[in-house]
Amino acid sequence: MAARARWESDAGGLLFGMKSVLQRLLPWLLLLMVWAGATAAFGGALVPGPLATGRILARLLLRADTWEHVALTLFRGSAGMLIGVALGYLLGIPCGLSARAMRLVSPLVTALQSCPPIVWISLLLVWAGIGATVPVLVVAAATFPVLFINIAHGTADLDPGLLEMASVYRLPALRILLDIILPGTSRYALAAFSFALGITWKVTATAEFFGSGTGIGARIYWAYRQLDMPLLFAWTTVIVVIGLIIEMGLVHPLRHGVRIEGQGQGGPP
Amino acid sequence: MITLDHLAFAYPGKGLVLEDVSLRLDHGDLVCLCGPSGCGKSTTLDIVAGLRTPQRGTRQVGSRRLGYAFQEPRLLPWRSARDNVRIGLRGWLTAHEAATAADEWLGRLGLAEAAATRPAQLSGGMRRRVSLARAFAVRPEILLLDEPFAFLDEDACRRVADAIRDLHGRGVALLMVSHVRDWAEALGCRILDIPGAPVRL
Repeated sequence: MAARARWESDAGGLLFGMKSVLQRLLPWLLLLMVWAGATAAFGGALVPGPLATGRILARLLLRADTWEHVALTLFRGSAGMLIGVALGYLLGIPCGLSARAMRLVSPLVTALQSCPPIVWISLLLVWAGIGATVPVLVVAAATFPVLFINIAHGTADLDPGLLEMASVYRLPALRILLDIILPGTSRYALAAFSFALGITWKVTATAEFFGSGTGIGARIYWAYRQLDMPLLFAWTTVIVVIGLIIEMGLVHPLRHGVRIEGQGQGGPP
Repeated sequence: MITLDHLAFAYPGKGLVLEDVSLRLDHGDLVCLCGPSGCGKSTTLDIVAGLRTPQRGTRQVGSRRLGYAFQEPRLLPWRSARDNVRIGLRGWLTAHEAATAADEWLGRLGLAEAAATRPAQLSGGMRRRVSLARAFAVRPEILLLDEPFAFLDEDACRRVADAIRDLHGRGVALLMVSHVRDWAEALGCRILDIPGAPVRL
């Protein structure tokens, strides 16, 4: 009896596991079906099918320069975001502490925020020419406003009593930064990081498409120029997979972190 | 040690809180301001601590070694009780000495077990004691205490009073604000009664 009960329990567990795997796979199966349907409707020359794309993708992944392009794009995105984050903190903290500084800088940041990346790409192409500068600076310009706004709001929302306490106990500026401002603004920073990470990847590829000879965006541009649709689809698959890895590996955990940090303390704007 | 001379203070857009306050404290003086809420007692402490600038009058404070336990504990929520006490000791004690001093004061106020706990996990009374430990641990020459006995049980009040007596023995000048006279009298404080704002002393 016990053996039968165990078998039933194991079988139930297996069934539940398979159901869960199926549920996770279902959206992807659906996507493949829609893709295959589109190929059937428009023809393989316009919409290469999953199999044709898979073959090109497999060949692409075996080439060393593919990984070089991926690494370049990742590096440029990270460097640009790092500049955006650094500027966000550098200007956001003083503006959060001083309403006058906020009034001075805030309209400029709003103007910057309303500039679409294509404006920066055009300007930087003229100023710096084709190369790594364009994607790095475009990402910096795209991520800076959201970092600035969140850090400035986080700093302004700090308990003024803590800053007074720091002044009474004569804490040096570095300790105020490390012990009060950075931990106090962490919820806001996490929210900004997760948003910035989400856009960094796309903005880098767009900037490379127009303003760089290397990187994933540039490879997409060359595939498009040669109307090599299977190659275009293969690079698109690469970019989507890396985007998903960033989303699942970094953005989701960060958002989870924001929820945990925010519990009982209110959330960032 | 502390000299306040004909101070006047008003918060922006509000009436005078302090109208003409003069006060002098030397080493070893224990002074308690007693009076109703909102009459300017805490403002007086803030002015002594240099957090508010009076519109009139002068303030002279003869030492930079100042311990201030605010009316609200003002603890860093992301740091343990020990780290909160240590924060006032940074710069003039090594990290190890500061941790030892913090643990010693937390122990004296009955919080030895709570040293590694964050403020959110502590009761209101415990948070107040952490804030008092922070003020005591800096070996102050001037001690400003805003309602140090509020929300504390009898045992905790006794521990706080013992700590104040100990510091008084080392010549600290104490300026305290309290609703309750009992502990101020027990400590032998000079009690200054304030009927209401604006304060004249």
